[in-house]
Parts: sequence; C-alpha cells; structure tokens
Amino acid sequence: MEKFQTLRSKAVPLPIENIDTDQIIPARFLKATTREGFGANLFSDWRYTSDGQPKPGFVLNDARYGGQILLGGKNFGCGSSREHAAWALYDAGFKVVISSYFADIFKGNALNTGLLPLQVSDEVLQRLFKQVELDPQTQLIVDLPTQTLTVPLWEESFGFELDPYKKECLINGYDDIDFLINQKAAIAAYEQQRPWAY
Amino acid sequence: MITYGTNPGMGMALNGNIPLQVLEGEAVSFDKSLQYMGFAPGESLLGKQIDYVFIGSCTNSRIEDLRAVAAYVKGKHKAAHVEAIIVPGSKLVEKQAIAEGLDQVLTAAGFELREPGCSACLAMNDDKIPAGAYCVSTSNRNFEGRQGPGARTLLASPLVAAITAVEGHIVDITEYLN
Repeated sequence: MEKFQTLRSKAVPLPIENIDTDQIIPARFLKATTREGFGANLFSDWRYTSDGQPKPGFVLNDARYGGQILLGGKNFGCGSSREHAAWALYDAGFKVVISSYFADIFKGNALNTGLLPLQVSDEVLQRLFKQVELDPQTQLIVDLPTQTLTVPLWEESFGFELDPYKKECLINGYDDIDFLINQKAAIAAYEQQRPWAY
Repeated sequence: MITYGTNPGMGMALNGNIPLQVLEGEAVSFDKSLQYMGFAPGESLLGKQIDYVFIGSCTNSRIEDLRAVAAYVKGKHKAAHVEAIIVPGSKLVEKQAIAEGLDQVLTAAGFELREPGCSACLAMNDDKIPAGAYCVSTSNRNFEGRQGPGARTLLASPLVAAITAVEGHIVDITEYLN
C-alpha cells in the first residue's frame, strides 16, 4: 500500500446522498482477479451512455473539475459489501473521499486500500460543495499526522477522527499483514518471556 | 410492503402512497430515485403494470418461500405479459422443491425455474431486466441498475411477487388473502 502523509489537491463535487456501491462500480464489472483497472468503470452508469459515450452532465466528464479528492453526499458507500468500490475510486486516482457519513463496510474497505474516508460535519460538507462549485480551483489540504482538513482560502482547519491503528497503517503504507510483519521482533520478545506457552 | 425507490429503505405499505416529502438533506437522492423509477411523489402503486417478477436470491427464495408461492399459484397462471423467473436460494432448496413437486406446480403456472445462483439479484450473468422495465423482486437490493442498466426494481415478499405475477400489476394483497 502507498504511504499517505499530506495531500494538497482540488476536489471533485458529487453532491448526492446515499451513493451506493452499485453506482460506484456496477456488478457486471466485478469479474476480475486483480485490483487494477476498475477505475475505468468508476460510476459507469452515471458517467457513460449505454453505447460508451461520456455523459456531458456528469462531474467526472466536466473538464472544470479534477483532483485527487472526491466530495460525496451523506451516507457514502452504502449498499452491497464490495471492496471493488474502494479499489475503483483509488484506481481512478482518488486518495481521499470527504463526506458527512460513510457506510461502515465501505469505510473499512477504503482504509484497507489506502483511500482515506474523511468525515466532516453536514455543515462543513455543504460549505465545501458550494465553495468547490463556485471555484473548482479551490485547494484543500489533508494532513494525516495532525488529522486536519484545511481550506487555505477560508483560513480554516477542521479536525477529523481516525482509528489510531488505521492511521499508523496509512502513514507507513502498511496493510494488515505488513503491520503484523513489522511487529515480528515484539512478538518474538513477548514469546520469549513465556517459554511455557510457546 | 413494497419499495418505490432505489434503496431498500424507500419502502411503504402496498396500499400506501409514495411520500410527498423526505428527510431534510435527502432531497437530491429522493428526486433522483423517483425520476429513475418513473414515479411521482404522493403516487399509489396499485394497478401499476409489471413486466418481470423475480422470485430468487439467498434471502427470499428459501424452501418456505417457494412453498408459499406454489400454494398460491397452484391452478392459476401468470399474466401473459409478465416474465416470471424463479431461482431457488440454493442447490439444496432446489432439490427439496423438486422432491415436494413444487417445480411442477410452478412450471404449470408459467414460471420459469432456473439454476440456483445470484441471477437477477445482481445481474452479473445474463439474467438481466431490460432498461425501463419494472420488476417485482424478492431480493433485497434495489439500487439503480442493480438488475441491469436502467432496470426498475420493486422489492416485495415472495407472496406479493406471486400475486403480482398472476395479476400482472400491483394489487393490495389483503383483498386476496381474506
């Protein structure tokens, strides 16, 4: 997994609530044996017509918007348990999704993929949507060590919560197995103290 | 109970009306949902013509469900314009249904019995509902495109699905059960 420390980027606004995993990556695209390549079909039915042409009204087809941060409405990632949803977002170049609520399974899958689900209040989310739609060049700064989201233009920072274990994993680029392997010395030392048990 | 929208929470009584208003902050997804489904706020679904009935999925195609469906459709036939598909919840359920002779009853009523699997709950294989068509489904997911791009899913119980297949449109089942 890639390390995540700080990200400065523009954001892509998708102000729709209850975006489910069937929209993020429709089931018919799940037949693959590796994590790569799902980004091409991200939001496929919203993004492309049935004959594969980009739909002009959809934000990912709008040249004004770009960046590695996706702003999504409340209850982002609800619906079917589908790790491919997080993979597709990551594969399409997103490193952070900001919403005012994340469905629990999506949140876990995102963190395991190296995609940061960053939860802000409803009020802050609405302000961000307005700001980014008003000026698509608006920069946001996500700083993981200090757990802050900064909007330089507003001269404001907002704290966000994150499980300390997942934070350490993201900062170091560890998945669960990498984390465990890095604890090898500590595990061996622990076992030596208890020769009767091991 | 039946759903009118594009998430399982958007449900109501069969003889109810689609809400006129939604919770604050959910207006965008509510409007988008109804537009996708081709329904209007406040509308009743009674009498709405249905194109497909899918009785399947791991959740609502157990042997008890198939027994309930067979008990209702015995001696009846599905409406001519409806395509009715039954997919047992598992291979074990399929075997049991055949052992009890339910397959004969269902086939005689015009239902197509297919191999156990995810089928039209997920639309990963060829069991897809065409764009714009209405499907009463006993699965538990009704997201946009879930049963195929553009497919419109109404979630309901196996008995409601069975009655809908026979009538060809949404009915108030309490009138049929009493």
